[in-house]
Amino acid sequence: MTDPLIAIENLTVSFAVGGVLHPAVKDLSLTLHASEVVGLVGESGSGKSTALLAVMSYLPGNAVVEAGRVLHGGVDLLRASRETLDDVRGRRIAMIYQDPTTALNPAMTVGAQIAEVLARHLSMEGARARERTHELLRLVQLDDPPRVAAAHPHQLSGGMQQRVMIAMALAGEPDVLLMDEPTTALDVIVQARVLDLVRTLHRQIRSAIVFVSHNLAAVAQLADRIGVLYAGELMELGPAAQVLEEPSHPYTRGLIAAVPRIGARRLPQGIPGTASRDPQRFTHCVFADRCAFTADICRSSRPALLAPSSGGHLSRCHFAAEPSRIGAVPGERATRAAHDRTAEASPLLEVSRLSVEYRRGAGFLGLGRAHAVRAVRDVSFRLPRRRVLAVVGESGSGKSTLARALLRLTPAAQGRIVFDGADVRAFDAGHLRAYRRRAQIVFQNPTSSLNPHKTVADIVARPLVLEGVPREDRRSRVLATLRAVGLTEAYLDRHPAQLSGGEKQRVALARAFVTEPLLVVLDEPTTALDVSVQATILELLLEQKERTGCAYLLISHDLAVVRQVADEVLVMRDGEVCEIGPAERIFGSPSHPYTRELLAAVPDLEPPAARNSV
Amino acid sequence: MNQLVAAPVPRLPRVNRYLEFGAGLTVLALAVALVGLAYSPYAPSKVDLLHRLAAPSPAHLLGTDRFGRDVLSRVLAGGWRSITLGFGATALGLAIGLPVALATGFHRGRLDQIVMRFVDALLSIPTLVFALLVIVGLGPGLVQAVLALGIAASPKFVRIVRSAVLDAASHDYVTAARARGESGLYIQYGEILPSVWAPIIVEGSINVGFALVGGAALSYLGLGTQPPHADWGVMINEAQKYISVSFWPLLGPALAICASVIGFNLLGEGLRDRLHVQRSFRDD
Repeated sequence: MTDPLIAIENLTVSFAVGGVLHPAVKDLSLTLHASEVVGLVGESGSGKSTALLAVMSYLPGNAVVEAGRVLHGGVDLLRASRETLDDVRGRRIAMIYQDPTTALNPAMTVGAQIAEVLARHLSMEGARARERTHELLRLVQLDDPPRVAAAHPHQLSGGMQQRVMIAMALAGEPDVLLMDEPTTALDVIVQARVLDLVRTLHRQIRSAIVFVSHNLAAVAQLADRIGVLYAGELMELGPAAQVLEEPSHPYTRGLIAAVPRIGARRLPQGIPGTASRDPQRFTHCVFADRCAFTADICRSSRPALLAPSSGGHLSRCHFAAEPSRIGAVPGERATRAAHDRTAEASPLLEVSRLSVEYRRGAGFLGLGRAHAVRAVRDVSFRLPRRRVLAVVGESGSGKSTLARALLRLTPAAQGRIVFDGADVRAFDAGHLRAYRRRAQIVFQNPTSSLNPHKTVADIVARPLVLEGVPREDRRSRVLATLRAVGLTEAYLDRHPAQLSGGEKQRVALARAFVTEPLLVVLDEPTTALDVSVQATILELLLEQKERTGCAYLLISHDLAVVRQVADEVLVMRDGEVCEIGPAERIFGSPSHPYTRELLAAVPDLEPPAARNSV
Repeated sequence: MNQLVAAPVPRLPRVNRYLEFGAGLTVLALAVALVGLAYSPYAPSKVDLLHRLAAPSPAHLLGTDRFGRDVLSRVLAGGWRSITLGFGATALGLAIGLPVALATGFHRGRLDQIVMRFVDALLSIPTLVFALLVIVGLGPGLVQAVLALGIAASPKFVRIVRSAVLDAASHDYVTAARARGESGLYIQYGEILPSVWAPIIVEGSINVGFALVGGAALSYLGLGTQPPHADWGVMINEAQKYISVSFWPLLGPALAICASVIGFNLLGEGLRDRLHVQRSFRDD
């Protein structure tokens, strides 16, 4: 085999925080060969971004490289001179960031930003640079390059901005592209198109790519080889097909089982617990605390990267060579019990011809000429008790506005909302308060939805205070609800900042469920969470529904998630209903072309070639 | 290349010198005011015509003024009036500004626009001139000076706190509170207020220093504390007429004002660093 383009050798990087070294990446070795795509998968805190930054030699000031090298063309980038790095960055190795809105300069036109790279690295100026800029924009499949080049970033959509980022990265004609979660900030259709673009580009220009993501399905679309990072260590590394189909590490198996699959109505399985942050964790197996197959040896010695099979497949597990010790490969697990469709009760929520308008450009004191923008138009549906209606669509489709209008957080322009037989739009202040106690909402981002200055006990007890529950009874109900969402008494006095993302979302759920509402609106409840946590929260949501008998209105752009939990699906686009019907029919035989497009956009674990041939 | 943005560097905890120094001076100023309430070497109004405008000596550590009164005793005895001006005016400014900021920032809409344009208009008047305008209506005196400086400071607090309220109100926990049927007042005072304490404390502490100077200025102009009562502003007024004869009577009150103002300002700046408050609107 030829020399690798990049060789990371035994890299150990720690961060100095408060005088203590916290390891972020431990003993990472990884090679990248010419025109190869390596996918790095890991949850937040797994060290995947640190590894990428180390390759660019962009580690933050408090990072300490304790050991290891990053070789590129015979030079150790971690110890290279400033001049060497200036010639490597952008020219030989280019990086694409997660959020194009912060990575692009808002004060410069897109064309000028690309021209800057051309001038810096290829000494290309003037008309030639302009021509090349347009060529690059065309390469990333942007129509009308002259217009795009003259635009400022804010005039472009998120998907277009990400394409510009890619064009800019390609401008220096690098051998290596580093992509840090390039599709995470995008919604599902745009994500599919960007993944498609990366695949097509890779075929054209053959530069090597390191693709980092927490989304195993997105990585599966592109990677030749997949590395799985956990708590700073490489747990498994191998050819994509082997890692996905015959994962030999329990963590990889857990991750795969946690990914919601569009193809199967199978509840994803979460991995209990959270990753260890203990600086001493590397004396034993870092996954031992969460592993279902932990033995004594896992807690006493650190496993080496072993090869369970040929073909460069490696796994950091004591039992890698004995696959029978760590259970079966996750297959199709128990499917969710189908609902008893005969018991079609009277609807809990009935919405007919609902429209919501925003007034724009009203100006000072509303004196200017205002024009109404219809965010939601003529939406009608029925939500029976104890059912889950999913509202799906891209960002900007009006799905969140619809949810807010249902709770009267945003006024509706026209239409009727009937909740439990009463007209919601006609409620006076008192009835509205009573309604809001029976209809709760859970938000996407628990960091924002929990007041950082309050304790868990105060947050969960507050709806009970509103309901007039006497103080003596509150504590027991708060505790019972916390236990129901998998938290303990120990959490009562903690503040949100002391909780992990999953724990925060559990608290948010406890607050929604403590008054036993009839309807819970879930606005992207798992989007901000890691995939292993997402699966446990989904399980929890279904459990709570069984326990309390409430109905869900689930807002989501993730069809794979919707597939697992929804009874009915409503597809929205530009504020209008495209299609509505039972989940089986929408997923089985979608009739609207937009629904088919949405479904096709969802990445699945099978690489695209395999999926086409089936 | 502009897209190459390094990851943010977490700041290592370091000793906050501003905070320590500011807190030290502030405690000193408060101690002077408290001690002065109970003790002074001489009676502050005891006239000694034989030792007029004397330089510092073991008997009179800061010298004497034109009536031979002990400057140290008067600095001590007048301290509480000056400090009260600073704290009283700040408390009043907050008492007026806070509810307005919470209500406008939370409700937004047309009333918010009207109130904020009015606040902008008031902000265009320098604080001390504004205070003078109020004094014209109320007449001179210590209480009136507190009222004037408090009212004059309130538009600034409305501006600063409202921007913090707008930020807090954009969080989902405020929407969540609305969605569970909380009253507007509970959301303002129960959910938003705890999130905006940091800028309030920072700006409040800086404003104490500012109001202290403002109070001294009003007293100097004869509009605040009325002679024969002493405060630091009155003392400067009395001493400056004899500055060509002796500057010693001026030194005591001037140092006291400087030390307190620097103390409160450094305390505010130190707290700003410690509490991670963005540098916000300042008009002075």
